Amino acid sequence: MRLNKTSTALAAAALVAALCAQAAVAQTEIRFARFFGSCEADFATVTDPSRATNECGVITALTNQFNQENPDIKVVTEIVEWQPYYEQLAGRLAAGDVPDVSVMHADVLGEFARRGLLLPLSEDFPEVGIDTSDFVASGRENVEVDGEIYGLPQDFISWLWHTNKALFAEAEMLDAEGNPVMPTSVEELFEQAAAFKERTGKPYLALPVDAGSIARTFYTLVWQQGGDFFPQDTRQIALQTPEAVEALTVLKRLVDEGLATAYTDGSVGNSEFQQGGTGVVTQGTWMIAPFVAAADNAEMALADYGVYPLPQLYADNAQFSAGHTWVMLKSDRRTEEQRQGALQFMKFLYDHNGDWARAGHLPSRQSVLDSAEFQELPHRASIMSIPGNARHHPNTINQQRVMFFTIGEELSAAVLGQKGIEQALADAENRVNAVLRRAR
Amino acid sequence: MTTLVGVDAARGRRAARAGWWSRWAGLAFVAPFLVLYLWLMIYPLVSGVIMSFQYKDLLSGTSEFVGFWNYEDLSIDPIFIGSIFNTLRFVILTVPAFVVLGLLIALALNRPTRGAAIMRTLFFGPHVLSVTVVTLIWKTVYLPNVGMIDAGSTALGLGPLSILLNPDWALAAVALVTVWWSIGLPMMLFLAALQQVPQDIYEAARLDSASPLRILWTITIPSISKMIVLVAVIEVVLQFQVFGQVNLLTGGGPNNTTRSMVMFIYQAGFQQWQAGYAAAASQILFAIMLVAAGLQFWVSRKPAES
Repeated sequence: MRLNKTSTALAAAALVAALCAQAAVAQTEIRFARFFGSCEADFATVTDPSRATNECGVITALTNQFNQENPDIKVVTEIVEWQPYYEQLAGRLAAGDVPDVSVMHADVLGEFARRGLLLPLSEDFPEVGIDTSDFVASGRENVEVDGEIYGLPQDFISWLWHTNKALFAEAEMLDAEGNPVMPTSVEELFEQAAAFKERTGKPYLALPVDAGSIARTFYTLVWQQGGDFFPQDTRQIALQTPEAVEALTVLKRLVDEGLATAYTDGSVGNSEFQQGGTGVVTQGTWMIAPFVAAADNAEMALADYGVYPLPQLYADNAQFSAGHTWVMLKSDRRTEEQRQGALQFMKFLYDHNGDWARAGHLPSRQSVLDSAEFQELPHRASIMSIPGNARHHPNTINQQRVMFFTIGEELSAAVLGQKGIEQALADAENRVNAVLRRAR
Repeated sequence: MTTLVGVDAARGRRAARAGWWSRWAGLAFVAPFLVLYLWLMIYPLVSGVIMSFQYKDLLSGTSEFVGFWNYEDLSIDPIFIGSIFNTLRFVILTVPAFVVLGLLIALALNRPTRGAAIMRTLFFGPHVLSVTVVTLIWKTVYLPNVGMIDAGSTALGLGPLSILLNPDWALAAVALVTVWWSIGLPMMLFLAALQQVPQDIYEAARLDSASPLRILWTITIPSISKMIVLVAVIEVVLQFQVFGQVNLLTGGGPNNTTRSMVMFIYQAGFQQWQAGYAAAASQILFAIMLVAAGLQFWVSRKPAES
């Protein structure tokens, strides 16, 4: 009898174990590749994205929230460093081991789509409730290739004018509304920068000149003059133009005249700005949240922080923009359950586009952009003009990231006095065109 | 007679069978290595050569035969040509330092004292660190304005040197990091060689009142000459492949003065996804390394032969 009881208990345990195992098997696993860093120490169990203000915190909390709300799906995050992200993705493609949902910069998406590596999503999005007509125009341009949508636009990245308003007050350069007086021409820029330096004893601008940063500033200035990087052909860049020479001359003059300090390491420039060493720093949207936090920190000298689009120095108020998107790489190994799960996860990210904006970026959905909730976030009202003025290269242009960093390297060399302006632009043009010529 | 012939024939057959078995047994023993060698060394090598004649897109995997197009393009690519000269300069800066400094440290620490053992550990210590850790340490040292070097130069009234931003000094700064990081290996190799030199030769030299410099020149260096060549060849091969510290410290800048050949290959292959172009550059690097290492052997063998 005792034996029978034991047997029954063992059988029951085996049954429970089998059921548990079956339940575990039934959970569809979605592999989610992204950068934005790892912050498990702070957000491993956080399921409320409103508790985070940086990219890593928000996306980790959102993933946790999705996993909690969808017990039948398990999103497994695969974090890759930002810089080698595409190198790693290329390796995974070669091995046939691709994630189900991947983050992708807007300037790269076209290349992946044209190579047939991305799953078209135009028909799937409406099925899961993603309204593509809500995408902001510039965001839609990023994910649309030959009339087909290949990704979910996640945000707008832009290049901003972060200011220390306390220093502007000291320089008596605040307007009636308490905002820094913005230059409206190159002449005004130099006049104001000189006046600022004279009154505060500090350089007006911290100018990051690492390849990525200086390229963003340069693109903005060229586009503001109505400059065209590809006047003839998408395979041939033109950098030896009057607009490019003008833009680079302005940046070099600012440094040469001591009105701007050039930083090859952007983080050092940010630190200098936070310590009250300079009135302005040009940095991305992603720095809004850290600077707001620094402004709240009594140990920092950034008591009164304000952020604006880059000043309009020429006829056109163009602003550099880029963006992150979510895509699904094609895979023979993906099951229908995984495909559905991945689409569900994308729908969730679409629904929480406003939460992502907490990290500082502008949302890619018009309805979120117009919402009071978004506009009440710190400093968002002052950068609302950006989506309307956003400018980027069309996604028909190949090798945009290589182009971006190559141009940046040459511009940096010119600003730091390692080569002349004309030489740097000629070298950048030749290098980019060599890459474009080889690309097919 | 017939019996003897029969016995000889049987012996011959046995010997032939034994020879056949020993041949196959030997082959069976080396087969696992051979398979791996063919698979992991020869196959990629041949694939690389074939790929260098193709336009191969790393992302899509598509390829097309383009003949010498990649090589022609490389011959007019100023960044690639610059990377060859940068790499050669780097090898010239580091390899003699590894040989001379490695030997001097080994000579100084070739004694059975506790202090020498501690110093050997200290010199070998950095070699076990990863390139990331090493560059992180040195990036802090080289940091413009606030790094250790700039703080020192400012205190001396020289102002910030910003070495990594200076096109004239950046490569030398990377070379210094490399020597600091990797001097442990040549030192250990030289120590091993020094400890193989018979002590009685030194005793005889001392009895003949030979000076330490003469002992070094006529006994020590000839005795370890093969190790000197080995260290030089190893270091030439290693330093031609410099990548990690350049990538992390300077990213190839300032003004392309530190971009190495491997960095160029990495960027062409994995950032521009042009695997054929990268493969062609790799073949050129391979050829240069082969010539450099061969030259080293030839130079070191010449005096002995003459």
